[in-house]
This record gives sequence, structure tokens and C-alpha cells, in this order.
Amino acid sequence: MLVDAGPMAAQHPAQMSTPVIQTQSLTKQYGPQLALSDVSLAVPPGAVGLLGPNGAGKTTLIKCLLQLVPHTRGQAELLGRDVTREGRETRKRVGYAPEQDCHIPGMVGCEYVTYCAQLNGLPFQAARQRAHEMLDFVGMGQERYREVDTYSTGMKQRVKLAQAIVHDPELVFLDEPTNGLDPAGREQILQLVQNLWREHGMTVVLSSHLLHDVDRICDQIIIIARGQVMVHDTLKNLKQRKIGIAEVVLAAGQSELQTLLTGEGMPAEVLSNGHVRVELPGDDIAPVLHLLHAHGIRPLEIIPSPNALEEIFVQALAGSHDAN
Amino acid sequence: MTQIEQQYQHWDGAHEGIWRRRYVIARGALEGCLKLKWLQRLVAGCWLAALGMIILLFFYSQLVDSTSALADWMGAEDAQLKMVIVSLELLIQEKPALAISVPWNLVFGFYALMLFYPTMLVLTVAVPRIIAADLSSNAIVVYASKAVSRWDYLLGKFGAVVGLLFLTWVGPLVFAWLGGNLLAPNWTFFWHTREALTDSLVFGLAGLGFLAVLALGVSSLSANGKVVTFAWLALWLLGWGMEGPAEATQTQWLRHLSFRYNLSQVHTKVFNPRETFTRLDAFRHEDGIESPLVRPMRMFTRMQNRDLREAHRRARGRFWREIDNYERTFNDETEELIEKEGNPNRDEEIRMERAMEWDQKEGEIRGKILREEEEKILTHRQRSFGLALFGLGFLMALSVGVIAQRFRPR
Repeated sequence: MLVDAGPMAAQHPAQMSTPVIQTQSLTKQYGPQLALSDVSLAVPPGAVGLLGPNGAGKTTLIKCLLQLVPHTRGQAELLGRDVTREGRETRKRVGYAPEQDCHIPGMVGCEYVTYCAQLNGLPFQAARQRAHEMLDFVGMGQERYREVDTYSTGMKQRVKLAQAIVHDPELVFLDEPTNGLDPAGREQILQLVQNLWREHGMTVVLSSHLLHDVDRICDQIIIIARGQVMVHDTLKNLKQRKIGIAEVVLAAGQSELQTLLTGEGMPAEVLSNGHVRVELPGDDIAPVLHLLHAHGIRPLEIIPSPNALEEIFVQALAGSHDAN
Repeated sequence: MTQIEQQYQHWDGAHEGIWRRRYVIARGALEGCLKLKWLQRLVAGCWLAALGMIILLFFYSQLVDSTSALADWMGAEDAQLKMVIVSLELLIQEKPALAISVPWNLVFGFYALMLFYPTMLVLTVAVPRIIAADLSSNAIVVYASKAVSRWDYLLGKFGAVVGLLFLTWVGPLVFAWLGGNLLAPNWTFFWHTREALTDSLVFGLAGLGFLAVLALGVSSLSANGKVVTFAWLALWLLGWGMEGPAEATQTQWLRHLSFRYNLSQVHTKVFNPRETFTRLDAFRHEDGIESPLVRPMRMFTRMQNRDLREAHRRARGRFWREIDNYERTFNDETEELIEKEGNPNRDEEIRMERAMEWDQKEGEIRGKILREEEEKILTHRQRSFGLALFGLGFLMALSVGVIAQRFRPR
């Protein structure tokens, strides 16, 4: 389940070297409240997961980067441009789907997405054409001819995504895009978001508190807590740090494997989903593979560090508590 | 899913400029407002009024052309009317500036002021939808995340209000002027009525600019549409309501709390009805003979020229208050003269001469008081115009302050 950078990343090595987001001691204060504290980041293109508990500063970071709120101190660049001096030009190449509802009252869906494209400088004809394409892309049917006010939560999420990417940005910020969606809708949106980077080379910053969503589609992780960046690395690197546990998926014979593993000094247990969870000696999976080979056991799948992200997240939060 | 994904295409066309994006915001907001049935009806009402004006001006212009079908038809019924029509035509030939520009100035002055009321109603409906709706629906976040700045957003919204006011105020005025002239019997009407157009445009654009800024300010007050509507109505109607008590108590500053009154002062300054009526008066008394053609205008002049009416009223009051003192002094002077003469036979003669002198002096005093009162009224008008500008400027500054506070980067 390790996520790599995807084919687009491989096709654009130059992009990989240039950070799409760069901040230097970015600080935001609301009165006495410190929402962001000395955030320094250099984020290369990719699918970036922005994780953190509620109130950690994820949305504030996005808002500062988009200049929806001015930062108190520090510097920020998006796509190589200073957001303070070139905010308008920068936003032409950036998309944003906020967490809360943000439609324009009285506008129908396709009209709204067309309008958003025009606000980013697309001529009307192109805007209208792209609006329909994007509404198709996010899976909106005839509902596009209804007023946005009448949409369900799922439809609103889709139309928000459509308006964020209608002008074909190089970078898109999605703030909790799966909130309020049913499992099928959530699955579809996640797949769309994943493909934005993998298939179309659009850098996606996915802000969420749902670890599973981020784990599934992102290749880089930024964990924010109490306004500070606690972790910023690729998911691959992070998981390698937490390789002490693996799950072995078998069609049958779970109890036998548990006995074998325990007998070899590797504590194991059978989980309620039928997976065999084993603690690896010295973070190395080779002894398990040898054992399976020696006894002729053919696993369906081996999942190294299945809850690594959760553990990293909890550890980062604990670190932030200690620091404060 | 695969089929849907294939529909994503990159876009590599040229972006449009910032003024186009501002225009998009303005058009979007204007279209949003015009979706409301009530607003559509009010706008339609303004244009129907313009159509009414065109019909009125058409009738007038046909009436002063003795060869027109209308004049023929009317003249056939009544010989006296035919005479009036011919006289009017002669008047236009001799004094076109008077016969064409004066009625057009008066009519457009009246119409420009009257359109203020439907315009205010239109704004009452539109104000909560300009900025407040964006604040309450969080659409403001969408704007902020696009390639437009706060300033662009405000300029766009300003453009929307200006567009709306153009539809209800300046547009119908220009339409009525154009229509009236196009249906006039000859092209000289365009030239002679230019003042009506420029005055209408100056007043319309001044009012439009002021009301647009005020509407943006009020709309930025709150995200709650009801609060915004209430604030707008309070600002308009409370000020208007205060005009009555202010006039009754002659409290000048209280009048200037009403922006309606302040705008009417600007209207008076721009259209200058006093000058128009003075031109009429001068014509009426030309060659010492009052033209029977414009005799009915006298009453109209007196009724409409508030300045003149007010000056006459004050002069009359002052004359009756002051004439006794003048008379007493004059009589004392007469007695002194008689005493100095010391000839009892000449007493009666001197008294007669002095009585004749007094009649003349009385007229002079009356004229002097009237001139003084007219001067005072003029000075008062000038001061009132200054105060009106101050009042309008103050409200505009307040609006800009509210907007700046609302859109201040936090």
C-alpha cells in the first residue's frame, strides 16, 4: 500500500526540484492567539496531505498562502511567486475548495462554475465549455441546471471541486473535500482527487483530519499541530520509519501462522478482520518472509506498517503537547 | 469513472485582463439583482415613465409645428388654438432658446428629480443583495480565492450598482431626451435642448455616484439582509421625515441630515430653475408689454420659483415691519423742512411735494428690500449648497469607512 509519486511526477523532474509552496517563518496571529508559528516549508509538486486536529492551523495556513488573510510575519511563495506582492497573479494558477459552503445565492450550478472560471480570467466561451467539462468530471448530471442553494451536501462538494479546478490550476487546495459525503461519493471524490495529480499533474493539497483519505491518495504528508509543522516528509519515508509491524493476509490457516510466528520469537495475533498482525524483530520483514517460504504458506497480501500514519500522527500530536 | 476522467482537458488559452474580470463581477451582481420580479417591475416603470416623457415632448414639438398633422387637426377644431400654434411656431423661430430649451429644462429638471424615488425603491430591494448576500453565503471566500483582489471585487460591485442606477435614473433620462429629439419636427431641437441633457447627466451622474457608494457602504454593514434593508430605509426615511420639522423650525442643519434634501439642493444648483424663470420673466416684460402668449406662465413661474416666492414673502413682511420707521423719519424730515422754511403759506405745498416724494420713495424702499431679500436668498442658497455637499460628502466618507472596515485585511 505504499504510495509513490505517480507517473506525472516521473514525467516532470524539473517540477520536482522547484517547490510549489515555500514558506519562511510564516506566522499568523489573531490578537493574542497564535494560529501559525514560524512555519517554514518547501513543498515539491505532488499529492500533499495536510493533517492536523481541529484548530491546528491547517485552514489558516491555506488562507495565508492564498492571501485570504494576511500573515503577520514571514514570507510565502506559491509556484515561485510571492503571495503578498503577486497575490492576484498567483491565484490565477491556484484553485481552492473551502470547507464551508460558499456558493453565490441564486446561481445555478453550471452558471456558478462558469462565473468562477471567468473570475480567473477565462473568456466566456472557454469558461462555459470548461464548466461543463468539469461538472462532467466531478460526476454532476442534470443537477447542474438547478440552483446551488438546493443541492445536497454531496453535490455541493462536487461543485466546489469543479469551481476549484475549472481554470486548470497548477496547484489546488482542497479543504476537507469529503466532508458530508456517503461512502460511494467519498470514494469517487478521492479517486478524482488522486487522478488530478497522477493523471493530470496538478499538485493537490488535501487538508483533512481523515487519516485514511490522506493515506490513500497522498505521497507527502504535512502534520500541523498548534500552529506548528510537526512533520513534513514523503509518506514512503514516514512509513519506513514505522516498519515495526506488519499484517499478513491469508485465505486460511491464520491460527497456525500465529503459532509459528510466536514460536520464532515474533509476537503475533489474529485480528477480527482475519489478518495476522506480527511485531517484526528489528523493523525487518525478512524473517517473516523466510518463515512463510519455509512452511510453504502463500499469503494473499503483506501490509507493512498498516497503521503507520496513525501512529506518526499520534506521536506528532504528543510531541506538540510536550513542546508546549 | 474512466470515461469521466477522460473528459479532463488542460486549458492553455490566453487569460483576460483585470478590467474584464471586474466587468464579470459587475455583470454577475447586476444579473443577480435583476432576477427579482419586483426589481424588474420598478426598472420597467422607470422606462415607461421615459416613454411617457417622449410622448409628452412629441406632443409639444408637434404642437409648435403648424404643418404637423396634430396641429392641423387641433387647429381645424379651434381657430384660436390655431393662432396659439402659429404664435408658438413664430416664437420658436424668433427665440428658439426660450421656446424649446425652457420647457425642456423644466420638464427634465422635474423628471430627473422624480426618478430619484423609484431609484431609491430599487436600491432598497437591491442593497441586501450586493455585498451582504456574499457575506452571508460565504461567496466572499470564493471571490477572495480567485484572481481578483478586494479592490477589484469592490470595483465590480460598484459597477453593478452604477449599472442598476443607470437603468433606473440616467438611462431613462437619456432615452427620453433622445426620443423627444428624434420625434421633434427639426434637428435644431438637439442643439437647443443640449442644456437639458447636460444638466440631467451632471445631476444624474452625481446622484448615481453618491448613491452607489452609499449603497455599497450600507450593504457592507452586516451579513444579515434584513439588517441592511432596515439600515437603508432608516437612513432614507428618517432623514426625509426630519425635513418637515426642520422647515417648520427653520433649523437649517437638521435639513441637511437628509440626503434626499441634499441631493435636491444639488438638483437646484445644476438645473438652476431660478435662471430659467428669470429668462421667462424677462421675456414676459420685453418692450414693457406682457405677452399674452406667456401670461399663463406667470402663475406657473410664481408657483414654481421657490426662491422668488420666498424672497417676495420675506420682503413683504419686512416692508410692513420697516415702513413705519421710514415713514416716521420721512415725516420728521418733512416737519423739519416746514420749520426751516418758516412760511406757513408753503406748508401745504411742501406737504404735497413730500407726499409725492414719499410715494416714489415707498416704491424704492419696496424694491430695495426685495433686492436685499433676493440677495439673502441667493447667499442662503449658496450656503445651503455648500452644506448639502458637506452632508453628501460626510455620508460618502462614512460609507467608505464602513467598506474599509469590512474589507480590511485581518
